[in-house]
Amino acid sequence: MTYFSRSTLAAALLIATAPLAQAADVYLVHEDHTWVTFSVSHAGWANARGMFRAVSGDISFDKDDVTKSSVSVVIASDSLDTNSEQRDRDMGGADFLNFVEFPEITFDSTRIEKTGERTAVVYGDLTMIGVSKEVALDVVWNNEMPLPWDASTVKTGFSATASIDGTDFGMNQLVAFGLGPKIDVEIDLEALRQ
Amino acid sequence: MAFEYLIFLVLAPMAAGLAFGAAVMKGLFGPIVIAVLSSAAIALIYLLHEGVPPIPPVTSKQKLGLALLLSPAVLFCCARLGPRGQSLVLTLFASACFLWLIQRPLMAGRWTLQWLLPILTILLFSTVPNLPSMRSTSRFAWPLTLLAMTATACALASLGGYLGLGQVMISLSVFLGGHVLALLLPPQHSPAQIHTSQQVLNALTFGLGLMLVQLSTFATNLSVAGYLLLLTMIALPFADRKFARLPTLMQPLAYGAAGLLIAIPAVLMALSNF
Repeated sequence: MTYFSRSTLAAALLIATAPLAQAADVYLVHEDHTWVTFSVSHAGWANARGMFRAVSGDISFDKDDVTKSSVSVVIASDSLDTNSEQRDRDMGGADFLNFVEFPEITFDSTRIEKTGERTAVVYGDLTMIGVSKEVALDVVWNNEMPLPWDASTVKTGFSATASIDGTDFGMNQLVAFGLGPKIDVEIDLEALRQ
Repeated sequence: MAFEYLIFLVLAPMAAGLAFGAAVMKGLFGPIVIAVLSSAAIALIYLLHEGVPPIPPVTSKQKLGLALLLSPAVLFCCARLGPRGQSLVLTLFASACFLWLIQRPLMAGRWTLQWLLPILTILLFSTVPNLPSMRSTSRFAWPLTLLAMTATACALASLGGYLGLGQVMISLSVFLGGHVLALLLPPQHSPAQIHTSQQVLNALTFGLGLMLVQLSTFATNLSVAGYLLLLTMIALPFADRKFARLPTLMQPLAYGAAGLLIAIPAVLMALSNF
């Protein structure tokens, strides 16, 4: 093969693979604009609600083939807010979220199934209190656009829901105290393209 | 549901405590066997509440369950040692358990001043085998001291963000209550029976000590002042010389009153988040 033909082949390969390499955009979770909330039945009287204030993570979002996307999120478990400091500390005890031993809750996607034009089910390992379980998140991609005051910063946004059983993660005391054990999770997340 | 809780939390441990007390007083078992059985009873009470831990355990709660399961074997091994030998073995075991319980935060470098409380607990409880034995004091000294400590620990755990261990403490209190009731039964007991009862109480003290280590390490809302008051209860048996002059039926009341004198401010401090 001549030098010319080798160069041509290399250039052709570069051109052919370039779109693939650029297909997935990387985003960082915008912590101030992310809400990880949950609700859990309180003995049938009402649904107790709470949220986590410290959420970080990154998303690799392939809009051409969403199944090639991935997401990884870390939640600081002691950022729990249930509208009562006393209850937050109680929920951080060894019976429940166990802040002292397990300060982080993590979610790492393992596979994604596209279910619609802007919807997908994101499967992943949720690790909480030392236990990892597969969880399915029903995700809707809401919107993506530059900030109105800064065209160079592009933001995208998702909403997601999931349902988990607290006893799967060792929180057996939920039942003893009339809580859940089913926990409904709602996530609204904004992320900045890097 | 409430009835199930009544049976589970109260009636079953009470019956077990009475049975143990009666077994001691009837001389059905030797002191070593009864110590091992008592220790196993504590482990059973804990596991009934918290479930059987997986192997290997993941959380400190599960590690505590395994430590309590190992306790009968440790007590059996050191039963023939003298007080100093027992104290050394039990302190080493409790210290190893503590390091195991805090393994995760320790490895992550998340130290906290609250860890001084479990260390103090281990140091204080290490003196128990050397403290005045029931042979030289009234038969109520240790049972009622332990009962007062367990009941106070139950309140501190429940108010301190460790509701599960609070429930375990309720059952343990009731178990001890059953044991105390058996001690009240006439006739007067022989020194051998009282020595056997002391072995039960050594086992219960050790189990309670391990649970207090867990409580003081992992309760997220623990009243430090209340907990320190709880630890002072271990000095109650030293008041025994004065209480021993009282009529037999008055002695438990005197211990109860002395226990309450410490328990009430401890609980008040916990209630006020002090």
